[in-house]
Amino acid sequence: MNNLTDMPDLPDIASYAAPIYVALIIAEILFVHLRRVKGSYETRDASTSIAMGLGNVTSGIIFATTVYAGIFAFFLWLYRFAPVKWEFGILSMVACFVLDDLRYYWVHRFSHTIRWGWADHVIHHSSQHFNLSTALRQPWFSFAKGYFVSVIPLVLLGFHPAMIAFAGSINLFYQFFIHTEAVGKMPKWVEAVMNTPSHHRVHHGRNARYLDSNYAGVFIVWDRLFGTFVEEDETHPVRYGIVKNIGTYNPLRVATHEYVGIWRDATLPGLSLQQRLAYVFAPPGWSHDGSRKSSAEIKADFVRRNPDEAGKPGLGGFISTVPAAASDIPDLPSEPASR
Amino acid sequence: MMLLLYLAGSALAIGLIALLMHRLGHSAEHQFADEAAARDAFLEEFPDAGVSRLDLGANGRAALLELQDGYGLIRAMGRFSLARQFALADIARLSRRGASLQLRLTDYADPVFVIDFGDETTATRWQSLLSFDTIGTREKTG
Repeated sequence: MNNLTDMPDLPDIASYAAPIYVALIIAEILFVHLRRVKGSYETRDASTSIAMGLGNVTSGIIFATTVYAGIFAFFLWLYRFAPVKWEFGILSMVACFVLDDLRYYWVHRFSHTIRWGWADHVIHHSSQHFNLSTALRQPWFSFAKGYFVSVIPLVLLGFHPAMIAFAGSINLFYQFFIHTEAVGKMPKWVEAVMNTPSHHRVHHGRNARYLDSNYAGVFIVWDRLFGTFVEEDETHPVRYGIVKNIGTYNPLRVATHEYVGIWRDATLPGLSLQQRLAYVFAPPGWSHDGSRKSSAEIKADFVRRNPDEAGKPGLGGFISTVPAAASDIPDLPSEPASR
Repeated sequence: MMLLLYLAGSALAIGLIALLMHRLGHSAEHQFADEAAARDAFLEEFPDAGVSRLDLGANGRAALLELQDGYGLIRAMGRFSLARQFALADIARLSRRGASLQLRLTDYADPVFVIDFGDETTATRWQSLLSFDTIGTREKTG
């Protein structure tokens, strides 16, 4: 039992999950190879993804007794000030899980819309493949982006930090299974409520219509509620990766490339302080001279080229102002951008 | 000690999975059927780019493009392809061996581009084109 409350010692799911992940990745490779299921694997891509996962776990172990212990101690200290403290039980666990998933939605959304967060999260999106190994392509220094502050409201609502950590680990465990092309669409009620492989494929898409959508962790209802939901459209197959895909399998470069990009941009000569800060905190794709495009600009650009697509899911907010020059332009970004 | 064991075990697991994929033939790289295919793939990424000239490598896995405004490259990235537009200032180093050209770019996320044209005339042409020094400090070899 925990010494602050009667919180039981909850298992660390991540430490039990590794063998399950490895077994399922091998199974998916074999099924894809035998063409029993849809999907694609490439040796170096998958090796890099798994190596990134290994680096993520290793970083967690290395910083467990320093950074993460410090953060946890801070939450325990904060927990003392919670006016109500929920005892561990089924109902409190369910409430904690749902609220933590809502927290995840916003943290994830900010990870896509603030470049500082994106520098960390882009690592997960940097593969052009989408398979179970992609789920393991995770950053190494996530604590640095500071998004752990998003946990503070849950602690002050009276959820023990250990319970929140447990809920978060179940959330991440669930998300492993939705990184696959092997599963098509699930029954309607599941697709309506839960984040599914179909919804998450859209999230990993670099097609203009799919950019910045489906941020959910477990419950897709948050996207439906906050207007970021886009349904997978089989007539527009998902192209995975990022707007400006990376050309390296080197795990260190994969882990740090956007931080290097931020540094180079923010230290360009002749910029104002505001411009330097914008290179760090504005949406990815922002540039002081307009030479790059953000997701919103890429979508608007796409609609300008394809007026018939205006108002369609993922492109709803954009109206064509210029007649299309051609009708066979692919559903891809048209300009180089930083993401 | 436990961390070392864990790292060794994980490295072994990654190695075995990589070996499995390689043996099953999943290491094959994308190949452009011809210059038109490479051009189409490039224009898919940069529809506004005016392509003046494209030279495809002998193995069909990379191409260099002369654009109306700057240069472009496209190459295999595993099963997929990767395209970039670049200017002379984006080349950190250019080197050549026979019919093969290597560009070391300033792009941290895509640092090296290698293309073997199969004939020295094309390599020479591209070398002289990309060696045209507009920044003065670029190292040139070959």
